[in-house]
Formats: sequence, structure tokens, C-alpha cells
Amino acid sequence: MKTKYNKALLVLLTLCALFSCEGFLEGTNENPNDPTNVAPSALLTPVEITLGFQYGGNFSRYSGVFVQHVKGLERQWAAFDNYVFTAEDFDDDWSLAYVDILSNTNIIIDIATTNGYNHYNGVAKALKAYTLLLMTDFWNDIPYSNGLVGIEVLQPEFDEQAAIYNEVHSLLEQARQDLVLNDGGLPVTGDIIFGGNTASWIKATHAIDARAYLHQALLNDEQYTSALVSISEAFTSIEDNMGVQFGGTATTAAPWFQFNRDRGDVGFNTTMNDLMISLSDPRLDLYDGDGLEDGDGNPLTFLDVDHEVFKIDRNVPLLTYTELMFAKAECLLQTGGNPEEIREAYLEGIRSSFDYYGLGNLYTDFAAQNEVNPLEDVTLEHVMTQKYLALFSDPEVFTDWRRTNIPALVPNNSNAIPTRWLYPQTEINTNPNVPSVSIIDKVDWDIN
Amino acid sequence: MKNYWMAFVLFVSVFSVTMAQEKQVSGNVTDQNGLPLPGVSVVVVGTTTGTQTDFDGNYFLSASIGQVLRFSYLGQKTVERTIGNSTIVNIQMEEDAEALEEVVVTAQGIRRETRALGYAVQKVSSETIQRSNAQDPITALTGQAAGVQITNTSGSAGAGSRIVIRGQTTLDGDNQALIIVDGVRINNSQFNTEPRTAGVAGSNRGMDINPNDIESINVLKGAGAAALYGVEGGNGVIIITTKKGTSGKPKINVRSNVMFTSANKFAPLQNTFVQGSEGVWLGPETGESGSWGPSKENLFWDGSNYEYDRNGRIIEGGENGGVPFQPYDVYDVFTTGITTENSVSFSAGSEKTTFRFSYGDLNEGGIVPKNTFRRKTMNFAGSAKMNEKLNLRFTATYTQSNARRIQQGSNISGLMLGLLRTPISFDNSNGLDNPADNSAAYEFEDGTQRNYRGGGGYDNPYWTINNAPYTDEVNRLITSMGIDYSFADWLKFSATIGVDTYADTRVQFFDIGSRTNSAGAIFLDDYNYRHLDSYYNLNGDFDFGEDFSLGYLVGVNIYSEERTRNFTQGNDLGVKGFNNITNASAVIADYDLFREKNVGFYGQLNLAYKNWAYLTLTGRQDYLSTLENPQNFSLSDIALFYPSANLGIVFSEVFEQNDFLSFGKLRLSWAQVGAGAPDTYATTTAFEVADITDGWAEGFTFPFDGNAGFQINDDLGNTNLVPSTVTTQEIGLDLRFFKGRFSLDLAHYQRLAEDQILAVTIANSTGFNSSFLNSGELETTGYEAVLNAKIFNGTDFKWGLGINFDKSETIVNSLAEGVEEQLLGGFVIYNIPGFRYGQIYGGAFLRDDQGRILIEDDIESPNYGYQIADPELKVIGDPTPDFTIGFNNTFSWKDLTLNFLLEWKEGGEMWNGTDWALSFFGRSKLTEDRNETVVIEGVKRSNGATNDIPVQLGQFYHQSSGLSGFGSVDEAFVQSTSWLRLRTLNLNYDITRILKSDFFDSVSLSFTGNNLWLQTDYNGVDPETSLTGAGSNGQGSDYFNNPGTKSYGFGINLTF
Repeated sequence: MKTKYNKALLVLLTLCALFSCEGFLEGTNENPNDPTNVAPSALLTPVEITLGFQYGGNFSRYSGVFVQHVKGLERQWAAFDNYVFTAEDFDDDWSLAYVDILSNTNIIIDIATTNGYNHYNGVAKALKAYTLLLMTDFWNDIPYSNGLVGIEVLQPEFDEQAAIYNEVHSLLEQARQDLVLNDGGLPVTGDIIFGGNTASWIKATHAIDARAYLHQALLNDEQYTSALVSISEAFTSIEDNMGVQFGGTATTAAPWFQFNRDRGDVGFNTTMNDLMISLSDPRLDLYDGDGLEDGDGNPLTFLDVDHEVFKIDRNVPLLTYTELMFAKAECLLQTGGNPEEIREAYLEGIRSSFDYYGLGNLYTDFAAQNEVNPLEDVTLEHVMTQKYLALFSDPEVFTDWRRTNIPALVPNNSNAIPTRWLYPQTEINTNPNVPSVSIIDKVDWDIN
Repeated sequence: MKNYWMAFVLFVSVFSVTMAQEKQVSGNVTDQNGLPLPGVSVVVVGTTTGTQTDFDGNYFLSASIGQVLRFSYLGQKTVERTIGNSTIVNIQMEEDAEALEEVVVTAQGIRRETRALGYAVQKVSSETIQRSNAQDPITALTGQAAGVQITNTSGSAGAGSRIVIRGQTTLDGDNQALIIVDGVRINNSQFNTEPRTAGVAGSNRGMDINPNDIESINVLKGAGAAALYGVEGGNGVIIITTKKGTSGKPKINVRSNVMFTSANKFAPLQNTFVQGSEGVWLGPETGESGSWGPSKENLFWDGSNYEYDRNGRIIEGGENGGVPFQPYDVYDVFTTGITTENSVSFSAGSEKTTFRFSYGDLNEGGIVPKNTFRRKTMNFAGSAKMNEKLNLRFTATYTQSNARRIQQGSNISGLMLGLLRTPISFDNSNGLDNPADNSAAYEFEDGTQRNYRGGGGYDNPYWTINNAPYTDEVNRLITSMGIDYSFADWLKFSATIGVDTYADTRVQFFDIGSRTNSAGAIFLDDYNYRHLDSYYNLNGDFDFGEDFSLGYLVGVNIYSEERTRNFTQGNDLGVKGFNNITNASAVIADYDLFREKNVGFYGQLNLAYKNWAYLTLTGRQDYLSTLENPQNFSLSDIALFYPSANLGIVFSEVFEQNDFLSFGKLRLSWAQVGAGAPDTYATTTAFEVADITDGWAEGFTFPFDGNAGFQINDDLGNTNLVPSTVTTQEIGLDLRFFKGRFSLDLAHYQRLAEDQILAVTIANSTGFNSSFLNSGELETTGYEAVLNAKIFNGTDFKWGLGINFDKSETIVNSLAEGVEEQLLGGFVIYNIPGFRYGQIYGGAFLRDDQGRILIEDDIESPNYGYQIADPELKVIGDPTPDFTIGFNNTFSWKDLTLNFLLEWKEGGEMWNGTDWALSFFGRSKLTEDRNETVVIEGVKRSNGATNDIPVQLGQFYHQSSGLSGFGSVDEAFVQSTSWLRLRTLNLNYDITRILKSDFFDSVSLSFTGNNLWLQTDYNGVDPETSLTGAGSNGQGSDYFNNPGTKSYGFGINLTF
């Protein structure tokens, strides 16, 4: 019996020894699944993809519905076509901008600043500037100056659009300064926009500057001149286009392709169709989604995976030489520029669009039409209409239309066409600082 | 089976050896009133010999002179008799007043009389579990215990069920009860391969237990009862004790059931209008989604050759000799599922050693073709009393389950999504008798899909059934080993160690051409789980003189858990129909490891004064690995100390004994426990593989083009997290009248759950989507009543009634600062401060100050004459019922027993997202009156005058007004889920007496029905449904959920 007591005692002592082992819990909560440090290159690619996914995705679709490039036909998109939106319809776009893009550009900038990776710094700042410009053009006031700091400020305040514009220009200037320095020992990789080419990035910073100046020009005529200066430093051909190259697989497919594949609620718009037919625009066959065989087929069928622009591996344009050439024509027009210079820029815009779509051989016939290349001077109507046609599905067209009201669009269902994005429901729910807006309010630069 | 018989023969021969040189003893056993007492256990003390009395109270066995017979029966005093020369030993047993006390299993497996408890514990016996015919222990509890809410989440074969005791304690964590089997916890997770709103109806792991192996289930409802489980005890505890075999003669039990299952309720659909738009027929080739075509009244099939219909195209008027159009029934897809359940058990034992072996085979066929679930369980359990001091316990259960499940819910491959949207003019089965087995129903010869939208839209239901299968296999081993050593009454040691480990292997296949994955996809999703749970206890009892006694327990619980998930997704398949990952041209893989450890030190003191005052004090200190700095075991470190105090006063002892109130006890309990530890790794923010989606399409996943692709996790880690604290006060009254013939147990509790760990959606402008914060408060108030009555208790006829009443509400006092809502899941289920848990929060109609609905009277507006959408989201419904009552009736007449459970749930609402979407498509019953002119009740927006604008609620209203289908207003689709249902019906006929067989100890036949009758106003499937499944806190949403089921069947139960 005694031995049994001893045995039991031994068991107890062993157990006690086990419990006193302070290391039992230690290290258990170290996360083996996710890294806590990553290289800036690994962060850069997703930022660029997100930007392409967003600019060439929902921004393009909502804008496209508003400017009547495309038409919402089914389910939620039928409501969107009547401009029935709820704040929730903008949740994902807002989240992509702040969480997927800006949060990560800030981390790249932090890493780059700490380690002197100047080129990463420049690229991240340019991407950040592009994103901020996009956001303020569609949402007007946005949180920035005390935003993006995590748990310390859970309810950031909204900065006015003018302040965001200042920040955009400032970031672009900083980016240029960083990009002319050395790479600090770490050349930029994972850059699917320009492959780490600093010269291209410098041109892009000027292109973004130009876009920003032009947008604010209604407030201040001098911005047209500033835009012209920036354009002169920016892209010189479609080879310079800033765009995001998507992949050829289901989960790396371009955004419109994915939408047409997974939803298919949107069709080509008769407004666009009629306009293009009236101008015998050969790009219609690419845009309307029906293929060459039945070029004048029913434009109201769903866009699908066979769409010739919205290809699986599309290079989603973020900012193009074509856009800049039309911008140049517009700026020259607004500043009383030489009519031939205006015409040259204008036709270069059209020609580069034809080249972009591989239809360079059809350009001459198209431009031979008086409606396209008038005997009289090229007017703003011409410029904005051709830009409207060239930049199919580009959200910039929505901004152009808001600035110039060209082309004149008839709202669907007697409602007014929206002139901005709504603030998302998630932000409304979590941040009391969100301004109250309606979808037909205008952003600060839109004094039309 | 062969092995089993060999084992049986072996055992029988072993027992035969011991049976030499004995004589036959027989006799009759009666109760105190002289009535025969069946089922009395008769054992020859010190041997393995034993039997039970038959229905007339008679027994026969072999024994030798001088040996002692022990007669025992629940509620009677045990009697021992030494065998003399007589071969007849008749016994009259006496009622044992003490034994009337129900014994329940409490925390740490300690058996205590309910008399001594200061908190509520409800026991569910094995008879009740067997009678329910439930396929798992959780479902078996349905309606059997007050305060225990079971939700059968779907009618699909193998679908899980959810168990919540006394309402919710956590905003974000798991609200389901802790499950303890034979002293150690078992895992009851339900992992999801796809989002909860889509995918398949999965199992929860509590399903791996065969209910036939269960001896009893004790429900520890309140924190007082569960306090010894510390941080895990907040949601209540289910204590399952499995059968370990009984002393006496070896027994074989065979149980066999067959059940026939069908859908019990479908969503009502319009049956008048065919596919089309604006009253014009549009065939499938147009891709038209809606049923806004012409009325069937004057439609004919033209007999033309048409790939979408064997009867041809639809024409109006039959002048050209067409065949009159007949609508197709979309519900033809459903079938009768056949489920068989067979189990055998063998148990035997001597005075000191008992064991039991069982094998169970459940083969469930769903109401959707090819939806199957099969579970095989093998259980071995036993106990051995080595000597007066040492006892060993052992249980091992091996479970293998295989399922084939069907896509459901909110996804375009979901069965009901395509099925319900199908117009009456399209035959998903293509006129075939065997559409589920004939690809001509859902595929054209070129392999493209045949569906009502010309290949677009949604998968044909038969395509889903055949070409998007989800299969899983679970292999699981649950063991529990225990040792009890008694040094003395005042010092006993016990250790219980349990291992629960399983591998859950899943394959989801989407064939090429599937609408969700047109290029085809394969998901391989493997979970490996294991935990080790061990308890080391010292306990003992002391008596201090006549009046006082004291019991104590001190112990430690060590828990460690490790689970991995290995997820591989293959896209872009090469060969159609080839379900293997090698068929994928792009593969993405993800591997995650989660580890958790927990050490808890605890103690309990029981003080009893005379036989009427009982005080129990407990305390537990937990240390968790998931906190930021848990290593140091000093008390000053993150002290998670959970105390409880429970008092039971048997006030009836104070009075004279009287026949009216034979027992009365007041219970008082106060306790503080934890409710959910922080999740693993919630204290840090790491980078994660980038994954980009805009909510409209599948999205973009990395790696891409040789780039790894990371982004900062959008969940911001919080280093300050601690578990939330749940404080409960409970008062209860236990009254028994007329010597226990009627009993009434009342309980009232209040619970405050503070410092909730809340995954708070934070403003995206912070740079993150969410973070875990300790904030938020839940307050629960509840009332429970349990009434048991033996209304008739005659010799032949008996009527027993049990009523469980439950009323509980949990109010969300607050969320995090600045957080006004928390999405729980299921699209519209939110927590809103000041409201009950899990409200339906969505779009409402705009109302005036008096709450009258405003009507648009601007003649320019397209919505002229309609309601107006309120721009702000509102609380528009409440899924929580006002109360539930279960009426459990047992009638018996001689050997025939009829038991039925009637369940009444009053109140509670659901968002009928199915109807919401179907009104868009013109399929909802609501759209049947599309051409009638109505005036919507309300007042005009401009002047408040009563609305008199006649309108039609037609295609424009349902598709484009924003007020109906897919619109922003959900209000019209919130519907009451109150129900009255015949949950179970069981007719059992014990034919043992008729058979008079020497071979069988008992034979009974049974008829069982589940859900045979349901009365509800809900305008859809059985409202006991959950889009998001058992593991989600967001209950109350129906979006193309699969229908619920009713079933009936027959069973036979043999013991020999």
C-alpha cells in the first residue's frame, strides 16, 4: 500500500513540476501563417493591381453608366441605370482606396524613407498622388491629414478638396525629387506599370499633375497653362501610357472581364452606339461587345467574356497619351491657342486612340469626315466628343462630362445624372465626420 | 460484423466457465404497493452474473447457496438477500426517499444531487435521446431543456445544428455551449470552405457522436454551474456521459430505423406568368431572367423543333393547332430521401468491470438527389474497479463520416437560386424521367449548359447536383481516459485526459461551364485538428459533527489545441468532368496553423448544513496563450479570476412533512466567468497574401506573374485584448407536489457580459477595415419554467406531461465607441445598441411623424403612387422569439407508448431575401396580382391626405422602383416566423410480453415522425433555417435556403 502512496505522490510532484514550467504558453501566439516583414516589392504589385482593378472596374462601370458608355440592365445594375444608389454601393471602392492602396503605399514610403530606397519612395508617392486625385474627384472632401494612422485616430476628419489637390501636387513634386536620386541599393521590382523605369515614372508624375490642373481649371484659368506645361513634360506616345497589365487566368483576370464573366448585368449603351454609328466609327465593333460579324447587332445584350476591349489580360489604362493630347487641345482652346496646334493635338488624340486599338489603318478614313476633322476650327464640342469616344470606359470621361457637359446626355428615367460618388455606408456607420451629400451634389471644382 | 460475432462468442465462452455448480433461483419483485416492478437489476454480488426482472416483475438466474443477491432499482432502496435452500426469492422493495433525489453530473464530472445545487441543471436521459430519433446529440436536445435553443440550420443531409443556451454572451465569438464528453471537452466547430452565405450546408463536429452511445446529457445552463470551466464556461456547458456497460449478464442491443424524408414547406410561387418581359414571351435563348411574360391562359406550344423545350416554342392563341401550355413545377427536383440507421451494442460486466462496445451506421439520403451523409461510429467504453481505492475509466470513439453536399444559398451555382428563378415555362428536367442521372437534362450535346437563361444566369439545378459536388470525409478519434484513486474519504485523486483529433478532407468541384466558375475550379480544403484536454483533481469530504459537512475540490486543467488548414484552389480546368487537382492549370495554395493553450487552476468548496442549506463556492484562474503576455504564472499578471457562489435552501425541511408540498428549494447563484478568449494571433498585425475584390466579381489573387504580393492585414491587431467578463445572477425555485407527482422548476437570471471582444468595423479611412476591441456590453434577462406532471399514473394507462418554457432576451447595451452597428452575417443581421441581439437592419419605407407610410404623389416621379424609400437604414425586424414552449406528452397504455413533442415558438422574424429577389424576377407569389389595380395604404407625401392613387404593382414596381426586388427597401420582406409544430412523434410498442421469448430481453417496434405538422405564417421554407449555418451569430436570414424537412419512419429495438 505504501508504495502506491509513493507512486501517487510522484505523479503529483511530476504534475506540479510541469505546471511550474513557465514556458508552457510562451511562443504559442506567434503567428506562423503570415509574415511580419515584407519587401517593398511584394507590397508594390498589389497596390498597382488594386489601382487597376478599381480604376478599370467599378469606377469605370459606374462612370460608364453615367456617361452612357454602357447600360445597367439587370438586378442592381438596372437600379443603377436609374441612378438608384445606396451608400453601400460605394463601400468596396472606398475600402480598396484606403485599405488596399493608401495603407500600403504609406508602408512602402516608411520602409523606403528608413532605408533610403529613393526609387520606391518616388513610385509609392506617385501612386498615392494618383489615388488621392481619383478619390477627391469622385468624393470631394476625404479624410487624409489625420487619417491612415490606425487605432490612434478611429474617426478621422475630412479634408477639403483644395487641400487634397495641394497634397497631390506636393507628393508628385516629392516623387520627382526621389526618382532622380539613386535607388539606395534597392532597384524597384514588382512594378507592373513601368517595370521600375524611373524616366517613365517621372513622365507619369507630370501626366498626373496635368490631369489635376485641368480638373481644377474651372476655378482658375491659369490651371490650363499649368496643365500645358505638365503635358509637355509627360508622355510622348502611347508607348508611355500608364497602365496595369492583368493576367490570363481566372483569378488574375482584368476587372471588366471578371465582371462580365461573374455578373453580366451590363450591356453596351444606345447613346454611345448611335453616336458611333453616326460617325461611322470603326471602334464600335470593339466597344459594343457583339463582335465584327454583326456589327450593328442588338447593343442591349450583356457584355460577356468575348468582349474585344474587356479582355481577360487587358492592360487597364490609368492615364494615357491619348487623354493628354485631348487635354492639350482643350487647354489650348481655353487659353486662345493657335488653331492649328489645337487641331494637331486633337487629331493626335484620335490617331493615338486608333493606334491603341490596332485600327491605325482606318484612321485616315475616319478623320477624313467633316464631322471629325472640320473645315472650320476645331471646337470644344469636337474635342470633348472625340475624347468621349476615345476613352471608352475610362472614368476620366465622367469627370470631363461634369466639367464641360459634353456630350449633352439625356438622363434615364427623368432623374438627373449623378455628379459624384456617395460616401460609403461603412464610413457613415463608423465615422461621425462624414459630410451629408446626395449623389447629384457637385464636387468643389464642378462650378458648372 | 464477422469480428464482432467472434468477440461475442469469445466472451460468452469466458462467462460460461464461471457458471458451474449453480442452481436456478427465481422470484418476483414488487414495489411498496405490491405492484410488479419490471427492470429491476438483480446481481449476484461478487460475480458477473445478473439479470433484470421482466414485465411481470419475475426473474430467473443461476446462483449458489450462500451467495448474495442484490436488487436495485432507481428510486427504490437497494435490497440484498443471501441465498438459502429455497430456490424462490421474492422481494418487496421500498421507496427510497433519498433516492428520489435526482442525481446530475456537474462541472468536472462530479455527480451531485440536485437537492444540493444552487443553480439549474437539467438532465436529459438516454430514453429521451433515443426517442427523439435524432442523429446527433445536439438535435436530440431540441425542446427537451428549458433555455436551450437548438436550430437545425438546413434540411440538407448532414447539415449542422446550432446550440445556444440562455441567449447570447458574445457579440463576436462563438455563442455555442461548451461540450464535455466523459469529462473532457470535444470540438464542435463548423469550418467553412466558402463564405457562410453560400457554399454548402456543412456539419458541425458535434455530429460525430452517436446518440445511441449516450447515457445522459446534463445541461449546465448558468454561469454558476459552469464557473469551474472559467473562460470557456460563459455559454453554458453540455455534459455528455456515455454508456460504459452494466454489470450483469451480457447484453446485445440492436437498433434499426428507416426514415423517409421530404421537404415540409416550399416558398410560394406565382403559377400564371411565363418567362418574358412587359407581357411578351422571351425564350431561354434571349437570356431573359424574369417571368414577366404573358399569362398562361391563352398560351400554346407550337410543336416546333426547339432545343429549350420538347413541346416547342410558346405562342399566344392556338389557331395554328398548338398544344395548350401547361406550367412546369420547379419543385419536381425534390425527392424523398431515405435514411437508415443501424446500430448494435454489446455490453457486459462484472461487479467490478464493465464494458460496452458499439457500432453505428447512419446513412442519410437528402431530399435533393445525390445529397448524402453517412456516419459510421465505433465506440468502446468501460470502467474497471481495480480495488476499493482504484478505478479506471476509458472511452474511445472512432467516427468516419462521408458526405456529398449540394451548393446552396447566395451563389449562382446554389440549387435554390436557379431553381426558384426558373419560369413556369422552362423544364429544368427537359422532360426526362431521371434528370438527376441524365445529363441531357442540364447539358447540350456540346457540353454547354442547358438552363433557362440560355447558358447565362444560374446553374440548372440538375447541373448543380451533378457538376458542382462537394464531398467531405471526416476521420475522428475521441478518447477519454480517467483514473480515480481514493486515499480516504477526505482525499481522492482523479485525473482525466482526453484527446480529440480529426482530419476533415473536403473537395469542392465546379465543372467547366459552371456559372460560378466558368473555367472550372477545384477546392481542396483539409483541416487537421487535435486537442489535448486534461484535468487533475483532488477532492474529498469531511463531516463536522452532526450538522455540518464539507466537500472540497482543487484542480488544474491543461488544454492545448492545434489545428491546420490546407487550402488548395485549382482554376482553369483542362478536361471537363475530371475532378482532380491535376486538371487545374492554375493552382493557389494556402496553409495556416493555429495554436492555443490554456491553463486553469480551480477550486470548489461545498458546505452543507443539516439537510437543508447548501453553499458552493468556486474559483478559477485562467492563463491563456492568446493574450499578449501570458507566460508568467504570477497572480499579479493578467489575472483572469472567475468566482462563483451558489446557495440552495431546502425550505420544505423547515415545515412539517406534508403531502401537498413534498419538496421546496430556493436557489441563489452569483457567478463570473469568461466568454471567449481572444482569437489566436489577434494581438498582432501581420502582412497577408494580397487578395483584391470589389464585391462584384471573384477578384484578384496573388501570386501573379512571379510577384508574391502582400498587403498589410486589414484587421488591425490589438495588444491590449482580454477575454470578456460575464456576470450572472440567478434565482430559482424547485417545487415538488404530491410526493413528486407534479414538479415545477422556475428560474430567473440576469447576465451582463462586459468588455466584449469585438471585431469592430473601423472607418476605412484609418487604413484598416476592422480591429478587435474590448468594448461593448450585452445584457440578458431570462425566465425558464419546467413543469413535469404525472397526470394519470394508473396501472395500465399513464399520461406524463413535461412543459419547458423559455423566455430570454439579450439586449446589446453598447458596441464600441462610435460604432452604431455590427454586421453579424446573412446580409441584414446586425447588432444595434439598445436593441435585442441580431436585429434585421435594412431599408424601410419612409413614414411621417405618426408612423404612416408616405406615398409619392409627384406625378412626374416614376414611382408615382408608390411608397418612398427611407434613405436611412432602420431596424425592421427581430429574429428573437418572445418565448418558446415545448409540450412533451407521453401516453402509455400497457406496452404501447405514444410520445410527442409539440413546440410553440411565439414571435421572431426573418428577412425573406428569397421573396425579395423572386419578386424582381416575377416568380414570387406576390407578383401574381401584377395586373390588378390597387391603392397602397398610406398618406400622400405632399399633403398627408389618405392615398387614393391607383397603381399596378407590376414589373416596374418590382424591378425598378427600388421598393421591391433587389431594391433598397427590405421592410416588406420581413416576416414572422412564429410556429407551432409537432417536432417529434413516437409510437412505441413493446412486444416483449407478447413474444414471451426466452431469447430476447426486450423487443420493441416504433413509428417515428419528425416535423409532421407545421403551422406558420412564414412565406417561404420552414422558418427554422439559417443561411449562415450553425457557426454564425447572424441568424434570421433566408436567401434561397434549401427547404426544411419532415420525416417519418419505422424502427425496431432488440435486446438479448
